[in-house]
Amino acid sequence: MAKRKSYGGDGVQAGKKQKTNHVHQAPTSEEVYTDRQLRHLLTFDQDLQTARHGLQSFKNVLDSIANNDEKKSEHMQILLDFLDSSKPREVEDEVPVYLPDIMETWGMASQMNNENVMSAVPVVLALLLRIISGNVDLVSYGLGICRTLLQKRQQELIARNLSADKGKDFIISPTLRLLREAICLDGGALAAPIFRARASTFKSLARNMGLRYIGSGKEDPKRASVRTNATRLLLSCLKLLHNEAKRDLLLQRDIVAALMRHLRDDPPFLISEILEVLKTSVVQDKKLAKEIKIKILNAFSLTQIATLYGYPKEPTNIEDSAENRYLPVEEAAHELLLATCTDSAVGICRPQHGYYPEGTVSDTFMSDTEVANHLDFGLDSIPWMNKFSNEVPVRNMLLGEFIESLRPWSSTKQSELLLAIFEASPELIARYFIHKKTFTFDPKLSATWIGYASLLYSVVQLPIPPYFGRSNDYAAVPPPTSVVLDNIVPPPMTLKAMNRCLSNKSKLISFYAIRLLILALEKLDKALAMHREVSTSPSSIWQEAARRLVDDFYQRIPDVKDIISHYRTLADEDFLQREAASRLILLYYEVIPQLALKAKFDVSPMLLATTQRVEASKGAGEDIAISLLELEHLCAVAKYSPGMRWFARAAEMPTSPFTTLLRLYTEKTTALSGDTLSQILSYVANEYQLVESNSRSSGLDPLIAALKNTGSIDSAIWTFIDNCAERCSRTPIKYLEMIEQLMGKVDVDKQGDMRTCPLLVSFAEQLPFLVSTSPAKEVLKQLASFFRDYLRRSLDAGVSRAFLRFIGDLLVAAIGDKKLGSKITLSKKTSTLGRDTEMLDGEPESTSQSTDETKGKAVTRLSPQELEDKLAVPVLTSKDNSLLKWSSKPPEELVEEGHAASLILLLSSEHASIRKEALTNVIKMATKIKESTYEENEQIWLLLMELVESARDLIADGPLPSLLVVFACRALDILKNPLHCLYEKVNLFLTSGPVWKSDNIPLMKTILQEGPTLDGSYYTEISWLLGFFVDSLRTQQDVALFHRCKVYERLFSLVANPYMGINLRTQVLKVLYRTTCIAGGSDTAITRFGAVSWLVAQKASALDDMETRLYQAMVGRLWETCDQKRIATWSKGSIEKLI
Amino acid sequence: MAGKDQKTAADFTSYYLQQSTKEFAEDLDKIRSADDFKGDALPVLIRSLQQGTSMFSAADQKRIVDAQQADKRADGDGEEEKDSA
Repeated sequence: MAKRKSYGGDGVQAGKKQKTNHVHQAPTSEEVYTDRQLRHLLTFDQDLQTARHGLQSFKNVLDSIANNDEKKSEHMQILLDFLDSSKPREVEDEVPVYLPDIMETWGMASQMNNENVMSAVPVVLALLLRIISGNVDLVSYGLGICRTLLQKRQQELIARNLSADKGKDFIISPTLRLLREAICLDGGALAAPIFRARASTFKSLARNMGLRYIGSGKEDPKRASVRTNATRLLLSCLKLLHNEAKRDLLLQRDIVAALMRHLRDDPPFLISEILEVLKTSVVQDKKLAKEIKIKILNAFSLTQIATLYGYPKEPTNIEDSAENRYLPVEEAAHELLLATCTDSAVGICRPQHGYYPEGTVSDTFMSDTEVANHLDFGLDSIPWMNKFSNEVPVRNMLLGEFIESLRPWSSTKQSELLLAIFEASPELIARYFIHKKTFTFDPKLSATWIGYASLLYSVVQLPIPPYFGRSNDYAAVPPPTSVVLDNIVPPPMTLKAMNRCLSNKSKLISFYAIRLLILALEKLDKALAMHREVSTSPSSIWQEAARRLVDDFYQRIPDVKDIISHYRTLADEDFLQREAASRLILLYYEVIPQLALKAKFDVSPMLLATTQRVEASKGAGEDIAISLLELEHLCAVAKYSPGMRWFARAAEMPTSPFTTLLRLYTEKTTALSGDTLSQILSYVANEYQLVESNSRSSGLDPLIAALKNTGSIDSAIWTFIDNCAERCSRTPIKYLEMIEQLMGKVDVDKQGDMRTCPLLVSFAEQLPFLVSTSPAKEVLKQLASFFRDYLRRSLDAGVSRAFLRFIGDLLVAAIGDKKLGSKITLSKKTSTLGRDTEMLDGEPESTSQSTDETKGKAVTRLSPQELEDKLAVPVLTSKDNSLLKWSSKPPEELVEEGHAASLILLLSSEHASIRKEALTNVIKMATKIKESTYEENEQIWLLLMELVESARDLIADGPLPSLLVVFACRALDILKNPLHCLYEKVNLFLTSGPVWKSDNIPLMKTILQEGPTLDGSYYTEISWLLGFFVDSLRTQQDVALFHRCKVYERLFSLVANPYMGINLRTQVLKVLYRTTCIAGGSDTAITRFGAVSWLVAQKASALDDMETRLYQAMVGRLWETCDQKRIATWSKGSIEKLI
Repeated sequence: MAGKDQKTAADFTSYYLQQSTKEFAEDLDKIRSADDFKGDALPVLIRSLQQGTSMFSAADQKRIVDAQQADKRADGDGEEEKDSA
């Protein structure tokens, strides 16, 4: 090398030397004392060495200010004076140039290629601007300097500096710093003009952003690399530029790409700055359009940011206070990605349609008629329905590509991000797994597999988007089945993989597989429910889709048999696994029963084994609790499986599954056992007709409560209960018949409350056999107190009193021992059970535990007078002088004031002459009304004339039936009022024929059977009819007519209508009361219409105390008014008892 | 009330994790010695185990936690009695 040197000429060599020397040669400087001296030092000098000397001296002054050293104030004063004195004079038409000498020097240096000065000038200027930025008073100078920099000449100098050779970072970096200071000055006042001059100011920016720190060790933030400076310049622009300029900036593709390239290699402080600016100035900038955001936050950028996951945490450096305000890199990246990818308001994720792939949406928005035409041909007529099993087009393509680069299985944060993206854009889920072919779920006990399993768990757990992704309602067409299915059972969960997981020898793997299947079934259940919600008919396209979904689901999941055989292999102490497996089996039965039932699986042995385990368990409380959960699942399975033998006793068990569970439920403390078990027991007891339940309470509750109350029950009693339950379940009919026989003996009155309990009958039937085996005295004692408790609780639960009394008697008889018998019947507290229940019927001398309700029944009855006040209706009579009075009245008054009605009533007079006279007068009156101007004259005439025609023959033989007379009077009231709800019906009746039949009750049929003319007037019509009936009952003939026309039957059944109000029910009673007022009426009502039993039934179902008494008093009234001897014989004395 | 619910959930999670480590001790050891068990693997593993708690309804979680606590209380009483004796 030395040899070659000697060949070169001196000049060249000198030049070369000079060039290299520039870098190393330290500049000279001198201490500055006055602004004058400074001005002198900076005066333009042809000798660049001198110029550099001046610049260096100036730099020392600035450094002293910037570093806050002891001479700061002195130097600051020098600087102020210098700036003031060097401020250009304002000359018209001349652009002021600030610091002209320095600019001149810079130009000269550039011309001479003196790199030291080319570097020194921006260094000094950048420093100067930084000091100015921190001092409001100086800003005008700063702005002046910056404007000077934007002049063409300076722009060229800047551009030249920026595009210096790659290695010349000592020139490039200060220039970038200078620009950054200029942009940041005065809150970015000049940011836009500087950006506009980007041809120079951003010269080679993309290249410069690639010039990283290449030394060893870490980059020192104080001696930042070109990339750091260039990036900071760009970030400042992003922060400070207004919207449009920012848009233009982000459209510079090379710059944006340069920013994100190899992000992970940047020093942490720079990464933090970049992420911070991206977050605050891009993502959170709501004014910036999504399309522009995507320019910088594209798939490449997102992937680059995602590389920051797992970025090592920097030990916090106390000295770098600027650094501390940033989050750790990984967290900042995570936050940025979350905001970018999941927030549709500010991020880049676009609105999508959930399970409807891109391109199908227009179809689902078709109008109803189009859809109807389209859908007639079923799911297969929709062209896209089967298209998406291998590819799912999405709207968020960018995100779709990006998420493929994530590694969610090995990083919790990445998994969190992916799930958040899935939740925000469910359309991506199916696509992700279709694209992620490398994601295989074949079991392997490795961290990666666990990561896979965890991810799948979270994905399956994600909720189904409302309406499957449509915004406010279900679409006409369901989403593609394959897409729905991929969301429920993601493609990696292949049948093969799942089966291998189940049969894997690792417990953890099979446990995870089972958990996944549980979630999948639960999700399927929800999806099916949503399908059902939409489908209007079983043949709808949604139903078809649901069926197809279930069919396809079958293909993806293991058979229930495999789950069961896996369950059988589990050890006793594998509590979680056993619980999960039993839960899964139950879900098979609940969600896809078709498949589950195919397995024909007998659950009883498993149920038995689990029951034994729970019973025998002496482990920790939580273990028993979780075993109980498992047991509950199995019981629920048993409930669903038709082959379950609830009452069959297994060889190794003392009692049947039913009794065993009953014992378990009543013996284990309530805190441990949930409602599920009691619900299942009640369900079984009802199914097998052991008890009678109603909607409010289960018939098994009294037994459970009594058993719980009795405490530790002897095994002999359990065997007895088991035996009885088994008998009862085997031959329920036998016990029901026994109840019927028993209840046959019970008074009619008691039959109102007919809730009974076959199991109790079987207890009573079997007790003698137990007693005959002469069991221990203690057992009998316990049994007796159990029975007492059971009977009492049954009574409270609403079982028939009479029934319980019978059972009590039978039990007392069976137990034989008087002392024990009295124990059953509560001898200690009050009286015998028999008397006890008697008391409940209302015996006044009893003092014990009668309830308020039963007390109410003992209250005094209604007296006959009270009854009359309530139910008696005065009989219609005609006014005096009716025959004559009418002729002097105008037609309106005849109708409106009742003269006509009064005259009509005379048609039923006892005296034939009066009847005849009345008939003649009615004819005259009809003519008078017809000829008048009375509005309703025609109809009134028609009514009267029809009455006349009907009566003409009848009055010769006797009084006209009250029915016709009363009808005519009441019809008059209706005709005068066209708004009456029966106006139409009466008119129709009048026009239907000229003569009324005497054995036909007008309007009864049309009112009771045809429904109201006006909406909502049904009960008004009924009320009218009832009033009509009461008035029409005046003679024995009337009762006979009612009998023939079956009026009472209709009335009594009318009351069965639960919507009938108390007033209408009372009106019915009024009819009955009127009947009792007529000789022989009560007999007819009792013998022909079962009025007494009807009243008893009414009384039993009456809610109101007053009403109960009314019914009871009515029974008394019937008895008093009937031929008591005859009725007593007829009823074999039973009616007397009821009084 | 919310605080109580949260406590129940936390107690249940801790029970679930304990029980899991008991039931799967062998498998967990194998995973920890797997080649790819590095970086985030431990938090991922814990999270995956913990996920299963979501299958239990709040009521069931409470039942189990209550049973556990009742048990502890009973044990505590027993010990106290011994102590006093």
